[in-house]
Amino acid sequence: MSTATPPRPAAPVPFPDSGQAAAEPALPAHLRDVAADETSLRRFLHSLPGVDPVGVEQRSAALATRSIKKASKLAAIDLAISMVDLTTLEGSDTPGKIRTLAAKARRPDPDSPDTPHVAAVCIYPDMVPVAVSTLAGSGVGIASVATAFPTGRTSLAVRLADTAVAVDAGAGEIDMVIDRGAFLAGRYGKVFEDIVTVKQACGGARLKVILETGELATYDNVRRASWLALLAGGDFIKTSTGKISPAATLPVTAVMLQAVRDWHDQTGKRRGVKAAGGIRTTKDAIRHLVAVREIAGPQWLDPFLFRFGASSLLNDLLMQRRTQLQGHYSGPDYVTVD
Amino acid sequence: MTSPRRTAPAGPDWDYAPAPESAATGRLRDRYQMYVGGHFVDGRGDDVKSVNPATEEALATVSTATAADVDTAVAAARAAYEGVWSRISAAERGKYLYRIARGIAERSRELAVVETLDNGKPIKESRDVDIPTAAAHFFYHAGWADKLEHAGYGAAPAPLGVAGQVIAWNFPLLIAAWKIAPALAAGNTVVIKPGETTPLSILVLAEIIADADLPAGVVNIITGAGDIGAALVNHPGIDKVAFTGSTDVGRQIQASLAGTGRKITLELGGKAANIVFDDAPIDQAVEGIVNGIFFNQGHVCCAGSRLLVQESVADEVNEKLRARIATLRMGDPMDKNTDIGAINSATQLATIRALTDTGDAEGAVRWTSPCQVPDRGFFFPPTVFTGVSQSMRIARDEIFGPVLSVLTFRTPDEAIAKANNTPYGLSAGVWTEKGSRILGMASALRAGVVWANTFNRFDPAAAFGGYKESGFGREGGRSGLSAYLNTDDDAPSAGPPQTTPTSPAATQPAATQPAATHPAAAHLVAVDGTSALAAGADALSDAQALSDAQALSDAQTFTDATAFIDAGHTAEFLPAETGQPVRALPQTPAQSAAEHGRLAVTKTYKLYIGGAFPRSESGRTYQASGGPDGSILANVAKGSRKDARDAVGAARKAFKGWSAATAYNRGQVIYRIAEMLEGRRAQFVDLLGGRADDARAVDASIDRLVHYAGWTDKLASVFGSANPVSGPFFSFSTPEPTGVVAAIAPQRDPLLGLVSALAPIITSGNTVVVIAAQHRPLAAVTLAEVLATSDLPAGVVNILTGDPAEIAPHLALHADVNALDLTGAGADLRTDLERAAAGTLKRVHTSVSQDFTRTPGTARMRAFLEIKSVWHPTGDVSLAGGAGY
Repeated sequence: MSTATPPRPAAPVPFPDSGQAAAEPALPAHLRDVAADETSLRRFLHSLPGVDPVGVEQRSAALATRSIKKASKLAAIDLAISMVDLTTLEGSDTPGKIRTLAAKARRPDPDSPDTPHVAAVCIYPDMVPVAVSTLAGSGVGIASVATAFPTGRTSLAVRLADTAVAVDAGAGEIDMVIDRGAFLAGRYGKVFEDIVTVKQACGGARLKVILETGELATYDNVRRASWLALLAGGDFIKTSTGKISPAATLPVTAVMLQAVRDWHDQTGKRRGVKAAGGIRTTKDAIRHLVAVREIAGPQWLDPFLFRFGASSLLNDLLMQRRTQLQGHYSGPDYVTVD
Repeated sequence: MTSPRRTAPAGPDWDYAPAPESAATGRLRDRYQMYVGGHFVDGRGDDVKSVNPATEEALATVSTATAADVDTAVAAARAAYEGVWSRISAAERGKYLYRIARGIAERSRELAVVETLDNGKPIKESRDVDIPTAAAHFFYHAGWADKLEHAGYGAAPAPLGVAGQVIAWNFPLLIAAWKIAPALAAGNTVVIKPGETTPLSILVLAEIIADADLPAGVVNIITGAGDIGAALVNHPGIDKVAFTGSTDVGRQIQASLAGTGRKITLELGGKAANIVFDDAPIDQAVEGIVNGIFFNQGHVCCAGSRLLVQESVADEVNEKLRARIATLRMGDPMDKNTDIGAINSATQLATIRALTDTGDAEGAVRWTSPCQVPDRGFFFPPTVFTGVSQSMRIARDEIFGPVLSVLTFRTPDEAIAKANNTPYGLSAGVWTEKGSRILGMASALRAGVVWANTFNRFDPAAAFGGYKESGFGREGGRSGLSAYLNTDDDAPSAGPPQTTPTSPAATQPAATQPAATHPAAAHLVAVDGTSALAAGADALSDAQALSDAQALSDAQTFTDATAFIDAGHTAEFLPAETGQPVRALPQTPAQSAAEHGRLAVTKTYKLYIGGAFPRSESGRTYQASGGPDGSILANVAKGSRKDARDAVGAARKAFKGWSAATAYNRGQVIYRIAEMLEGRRAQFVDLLGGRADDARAVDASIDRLVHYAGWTDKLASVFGSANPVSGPFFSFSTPEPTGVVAAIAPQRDPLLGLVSALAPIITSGNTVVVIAAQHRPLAAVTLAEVLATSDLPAGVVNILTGDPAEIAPHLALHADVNALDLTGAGADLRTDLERAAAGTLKRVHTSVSQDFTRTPGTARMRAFLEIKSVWHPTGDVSLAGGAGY
């Protein structure tokens, strides 16, 4: 069974700690017991510094004014391509659709063989076998949404079974959704346990925890949910399902980048962030890379630690890449639709 | 299977390529001329070269002015004021301002480049802050031009005339806009001098102004160094001075203008505290700290140069701060990705180095950002000192560079004490998620701008300006307009003054005063002449009284104490030291009954300080007399330097409680004083002389107290504002008391003048040390007895008796006095006191009118109010980007 993962960075990054990390000595003392029970978890999450929305939005706006030109832009485009989780999450998905998506993931621009492949494809669990068969050995990872995506509104047993379908079929990455209802009702322990349980079900697959920030509604909640997911062992925290608006805005991503940076400061371990939904242009993607660089740090400029969850973004990146290389603007008919 | 992997993405090494703005966009010329009388002209001074501080290369040659050019420019401004600008309609003025605003917007990219080349600030700041905000000031004030009657300064507030404006080099175009736009909107013309090292952007503005067809001479721009600035502000042809720059130069300006009556606005230095509580939104606080001290290389008067961080989060904040500062990119200011540009001049760089050296020497721990420092140009890397204590120079002196001093505190009280422990008071920052603490801190901080959970926000709709030695006057908002309008609504109306109707001779002197062009002076003469005529038994001859009055009129200024007493009401005492004969009061029935037939006990009146009645520290007294036969009635304490000190101490002690008392409570206290005065009405009438005039004076005093008692809970509504600033912020401006005020009560109207001085000062929460009418102190010292038994907290009002010329200088020099009311001082004394006041930049007020019988305007209250603007972000209801980003 394939457990394709994206290329690892040259310098080995410590593998993220598991859901049981809270009980392991690897965590610093002040984090070890915060998830011991509902009360201490609540106390911890509510003790996190608040987020001033205007401040974080203005910081994001300032980052968006960085002027990325020439070689720096071309490098950013390639980096962004290598971070894309090329996604299709439709009821109309078919094996044929998945095969073309996989082909695009391996060779995003057949006219430019030096174009990097994307990080992974992101698909529903029943489509994983198709992707496995087409992507084996390509270096392109297979990510699958699970846990009754996108709402998660079913029993834990069903969500675990959903996860098992994906993992057993060979998905190397699982994108789970949190129970936003439980989170908003303040039942943090429930959300925590869900994530820990799914993490266990993932086995060796990396777990991306979708916060669905558009339903959390405040930056304070985004920060708390980020920490909750990190404490529970999520390898990535991910903004959105893509089914709810707003999805990945730059300030939301900024708050999540602060969370993984702070996690690293306190534990010495790096976790990833996935900005998913709403990022459609190269300009948006580069702004996110600037935020990654200046908020989390340059070490996060790596597909192992940062992803874009997107479908249409890839073609814009490819067109901009051609523009950079060819010196004139490209058009949609010069890149493949899928 | 081999991976089809091709190129390796850049990864952690990815960085930003240089993205320089093109210098050609600035269209710099080889040589720039001054702009005077609608023409670009050569000054008579030597040409100078303006240098690009990032490269140390000359950018352009600039013609400069001599004193003769100042004359020419002022004359041009005067001619434009009288010939055109004061005659065209307000709506026309507004449209001119709108044209200038549009012109700035259209040439914004060019102006940004010019500003960055000449000043050294990063292009992203000149592009995103300086130039747009400069245009915004013209847009904002364009709208005021035809709405001045709604600004709260009367139905038809008049301009002042010609404004002389001298500005700093840190925001060359922006400050020019702050100065020019309100001046023109209010109907003034201007002569303005930019900073010596940054003349270029304002000379581009001159082109925009010329292109806007602004009438010649309405705006005149002269260039040069400090000597030209001094020549301008001291020029006899100007009516208003506005200055942005250092506190030391501000001091010199206030001193040199002492006695001129010229309206001054000073926007000076600062040493702002940026206070971070442990419940702050830490990440945004770190941004605010960075923005607060590294914006514009720290060349910002309101920079948050002192970080006060709560000890419980100090380590965390310091770590995050250093990590964040390390991401700041220092270098070519023209690069769009540069965060920190060049220090403006070699001189400033030397100042920064010298001051930071004292930080090392005094034991603070220096941390320097690991950023690359260019090998040429004037650069200073972002620097943070920790382990700083309040006594170090880097915690007290304005460095005006990218240098942050970090201090810690444990409790909010300690934070307030440390934040306010500076002679400056321009701005402050507060970071906490707790709303009640934000408002509490905003109220407790003695600073003109308080940014809560944000920093360095500017908007033309929000007043900006300092407390204490950060200067006085405001720029922006409704209160900013008053700097360029005649807002003294104490001035008598054009109608005939109210005079004593009992004497047919009453109106005669006024009618025979054709030369008294100043309405106030004319009025004073009328009253005094009347009284002298009416008091037929006075030892003074009528001729002498009229002569004094004439002298007053001729001088077109206000009489000094002696002139008033001699010319005015009958003297009722003998200054024992002068040996002059005692003069009798007119006899009144009440006094006759009380005094005849027995020997009165000689009464000794002491000072009234801190609610007690101490003798003078000097032990001296002087004699005040009264009664129908002129017999000595009382000894009065002769106040001294130490009494002034004690009184200021008492007033300072009382300030905290009185200023924090609710408006309702202050009102009740003052109403109660009015009630008590009412109860002792007859006694006060007798003390004053028992005549109908005296009864009217007592009644008016009571009315005055009632009037001001009712103001306490209206002040914030009338003088405050909600500020419609751009961006997701709520901003409001609110009036606050200035602090401790020292006042000299007028010699005339010893009760009404005193009450008219005291009441508007204390109604807003100030405390006061007042020197009673020297020659007629009995009403004042008796009022002290009333106050002592009233609900007025001890120390809110302190009354000294004695010679103003002896006591007042100590008050004017006392560093803990914030403002002076010199209404009762003679002209010479007033000039000396104003000069003394400049030492600590005290606000100085003199009521134009000493006609206390008129219903007062608001000028006397406004003179002792500071306008504080508070900002706070709004939002947090959605992630949809409420801020519009």
